[in-house]
Amino acid sequence: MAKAAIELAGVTKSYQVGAITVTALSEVSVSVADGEFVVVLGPSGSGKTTLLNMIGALDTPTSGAVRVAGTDITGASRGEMFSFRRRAVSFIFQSFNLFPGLTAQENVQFGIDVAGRGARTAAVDALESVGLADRLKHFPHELSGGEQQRVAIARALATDNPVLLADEPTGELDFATGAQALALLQGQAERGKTVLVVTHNREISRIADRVLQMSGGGIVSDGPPPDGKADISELSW
Amino acid sequence: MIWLKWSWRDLRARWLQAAAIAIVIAVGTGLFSGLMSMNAWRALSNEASYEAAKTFDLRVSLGDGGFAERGAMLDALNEVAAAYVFHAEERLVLPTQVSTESDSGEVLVPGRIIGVELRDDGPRVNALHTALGRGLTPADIGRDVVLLERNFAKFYGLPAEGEASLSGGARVSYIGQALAPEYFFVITPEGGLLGQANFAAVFASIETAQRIAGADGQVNDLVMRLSPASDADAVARALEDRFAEMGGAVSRRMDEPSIRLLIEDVEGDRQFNAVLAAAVFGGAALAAFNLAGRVVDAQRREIGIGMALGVQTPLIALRPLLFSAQVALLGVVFGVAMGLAIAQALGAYLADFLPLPAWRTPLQLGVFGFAAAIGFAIPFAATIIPVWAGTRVAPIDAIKTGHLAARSGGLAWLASGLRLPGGSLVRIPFRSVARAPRRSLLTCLAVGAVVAVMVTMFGLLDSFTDALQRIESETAGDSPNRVEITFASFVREDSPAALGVVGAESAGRAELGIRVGATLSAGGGDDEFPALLQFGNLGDSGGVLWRPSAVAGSLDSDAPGVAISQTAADILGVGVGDTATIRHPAMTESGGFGLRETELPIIAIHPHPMRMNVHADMDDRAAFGLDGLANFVQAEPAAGYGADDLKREAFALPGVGSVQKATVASEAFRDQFAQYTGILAFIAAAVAALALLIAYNTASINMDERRREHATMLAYGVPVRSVLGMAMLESAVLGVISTLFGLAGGWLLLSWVVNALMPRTFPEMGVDMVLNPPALAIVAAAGILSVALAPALTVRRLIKMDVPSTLRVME
Repeated sequence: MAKAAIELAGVTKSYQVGAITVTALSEVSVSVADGEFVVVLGPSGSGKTTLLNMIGALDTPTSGAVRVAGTDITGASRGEMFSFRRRAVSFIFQSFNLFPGLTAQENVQFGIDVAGRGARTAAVDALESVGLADRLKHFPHELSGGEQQRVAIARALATDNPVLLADEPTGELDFATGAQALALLQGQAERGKTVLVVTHNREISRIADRVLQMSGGGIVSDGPPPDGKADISELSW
Repeated sequence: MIWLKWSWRDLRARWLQAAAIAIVIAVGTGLFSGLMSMNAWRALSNEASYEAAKTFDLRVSLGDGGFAERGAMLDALNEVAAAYVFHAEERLVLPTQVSTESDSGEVLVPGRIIGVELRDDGPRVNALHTALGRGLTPADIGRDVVLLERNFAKFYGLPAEGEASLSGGARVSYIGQALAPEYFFVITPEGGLLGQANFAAVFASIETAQRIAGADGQVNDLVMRLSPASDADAVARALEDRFAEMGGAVSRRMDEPSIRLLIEDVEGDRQFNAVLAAAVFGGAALAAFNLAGRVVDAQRREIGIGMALGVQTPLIALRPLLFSAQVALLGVVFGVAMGLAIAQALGAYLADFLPLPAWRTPLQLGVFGFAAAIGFAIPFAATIIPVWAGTRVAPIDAIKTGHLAARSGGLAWLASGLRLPGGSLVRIPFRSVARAPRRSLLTCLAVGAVVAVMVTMFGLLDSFTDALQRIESETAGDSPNRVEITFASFVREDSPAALGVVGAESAGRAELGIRVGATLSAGGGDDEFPALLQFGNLGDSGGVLWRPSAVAGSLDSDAPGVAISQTAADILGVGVGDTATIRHPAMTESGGFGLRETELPIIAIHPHPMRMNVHADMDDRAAFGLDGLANFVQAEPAAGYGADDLKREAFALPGVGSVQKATVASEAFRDQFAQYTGILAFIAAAVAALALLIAYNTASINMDERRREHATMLAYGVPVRSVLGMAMLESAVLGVISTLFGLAGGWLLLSWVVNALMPRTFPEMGVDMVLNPPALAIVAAAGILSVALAPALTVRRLIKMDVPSTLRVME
């Protein structure tokens, strides 16, 4: 069995909202192997984004342990978490969050610069890999939504970090461009990256290697898609 | 009501930025109302002081040596204008020398004794306001008691009471110090400004003055206040006719240089302050515009939803407008409080700086009302544009979120060609500036306006310092320790008096000279102004004790000619080789003195800033009808003696009228200048605070604008310090552009003040526009650093940022 890229052991996350304690994650334990394409599925408030934040070192657990890409980030300092994010995980956001003042190529270059690895040509290569070789000098506002998300994916890929974390990556896209984005992510998993996609869109879970179903802050089911892994071409929404 | 509540919530949500804008408005309003109050107070106080001092409306002075029997001038007046005169008094006004003791030694200066009417509670025209000690009473008639003019006494730190000697060795007791309307601002008979260092007016009963001057029963001056409905011009004409045979010259109140200068100075200051306040208001308005733009931007979707729901546009616009109104109102409330504090501080400062008998500092409701209205209206009006633009968008466009709402990249394309060292992290700040050109421009203009005011303040300080240094340098020359010994009247150069001073034991090198009041004009033009014609050894650069320097032409000309100041040359529009016309006293054939005009070529231009200083060579005295005469000596102390030794010895020599260090007048300038710079420094400090506030606000808005980008960077592991560094770099770019705007604007403003306003309101002194590199560096550093470092104040927000939530915000 492949070694674990992500390991959560008994992770709980609680927030204090006034006098009330809200538990976003409750005793979650899960392990994701290298190269797995995992979809975290669940309705709003089920804790899926909190789970993503824990894995991405954007948040710290109240209790439990988190180990990602071989690094135990459970008690990591602020500086260690920043360093971890630079070399271990890359984010893809629902609303892309490209830098509007940078061209497509420069946005991707940002990922390279931050991670501190990759040659200057890596940005071009990354954009070519997402089919945007002809859009290098375009600014985000000159790109369509699908193109922007592909740039965002290229930026994440360009870091060469082993774990890709995507939060509702198709949320702002129509079906066709959403499918393109998913295909790119799936391709990354096939190349050995660990890809974790958070979504409430059940259809997307059909192409996953593994589906984590969440509800009320806990994982209620964990396994391959119930109807077997589908091809992207079979998806519709 | 819901709109008000809603806008109130908006205000609370952005309370820090709103407070910063409000304070910016407050400083603008406060500075405006404070400075304009000060102007109003000066105007009011001048008026009240001249009124309290029962200042003359018309004056008749008999010419040099002219006297009339006491009562004769009043009789003549009553013959032609009794019905128009409220009250008139005769005076005896004569030159004198005043010597007394100060803490720092003996003081011997030329002056004037003014014998005034003490009967019937007089003087009732040009009354004396006792500032220290006691006033003159009818019991002092004929007694050897006098009052010293307050500004002179203050300059030398004289006590309220003491002893003094006047011309002819008359010993008098001074019993107090008084302010009088002709000396609120002291100008010497020759036209020297800030004359308190070298001119002393002494007030006594008319009988005392007559006895001291040996002019029993004589008067030579008549001052009067007219009845309210009288036509001053008509009365003046009648008096001119009536007093012609007595040699009387009629003058009006505003002909008195001291009074004219004091009144015109207020108007000059008013214009200057109005421009300053406008610049500060401009900065505040632009800053408010920026904030309002951001608020409207943030409400874009809500505006769109409102429009989609069919809410009327005015109602939609109400919320951001109410927000702006609240910010402006808050600013005005702060501003009024700040204005009161500034005005009080400046008022107290001014009362000490410029002693007047009546300082009036009432609350300037009109000024504050106007400032409040402007302080409210300008920022409020500034918000209308973004609000209007916000409500002009189609609802569907306003509602769009995420990438669909992506706006244009501004001028980012322009910056994309910019080759910068470092990676994308260095590029982002520059692109961010270019991406929002309107906002960047507004920011730069807002900060630039304030920087411009700072440039002006520093420029004025530098320009005045330069003028002062030129005065000091020109006055001191190569012989800063020399002493000027002025004779009580003209003497022959070979007279015992002249030889006695030149040959004094404590005198080293000594040169005779002449200094007389004159007027200067040129080329038949209309401009003619008072001048101080001074003869010295111009042409002998080898052994000369002192001579002016020349910035054009040469002093070593063999042909007769005069050297005039650059200021005078600029006003008259002349240069070296042109002809100057000088009206000056000259010896008549009868041995007396009369006025005559002499035309001579201008041989040189000297750099002394005072336009009045005209120099000629002693060898050319004959051309002026002053051959063989002298009326002062400038001498260096001999080896082994100090200036005080020389002063002490000269003090006791016969015929000597005054003894002073040559640099005493420039010391008076420095003294006065130091006080004036206090006001400039106060304004500069307030403006610097304003720059910081605008910078902070700009940074705060920018950080708000960039929060999603910052969250993305943090999510990618970019350390907070790097994100902050980028924010600071972006701010620094804005700071540099702002400062360049400010420097350009400040240069123009300073140029207007120095080259247009001051020559109009204070033509006596030529001030060159100077902005020294250190001042430029300070302003540039303040402008750039205040903006560049401002993001550091928001670092807490960056550290505390909820990255996941920020990344998920849909805009």
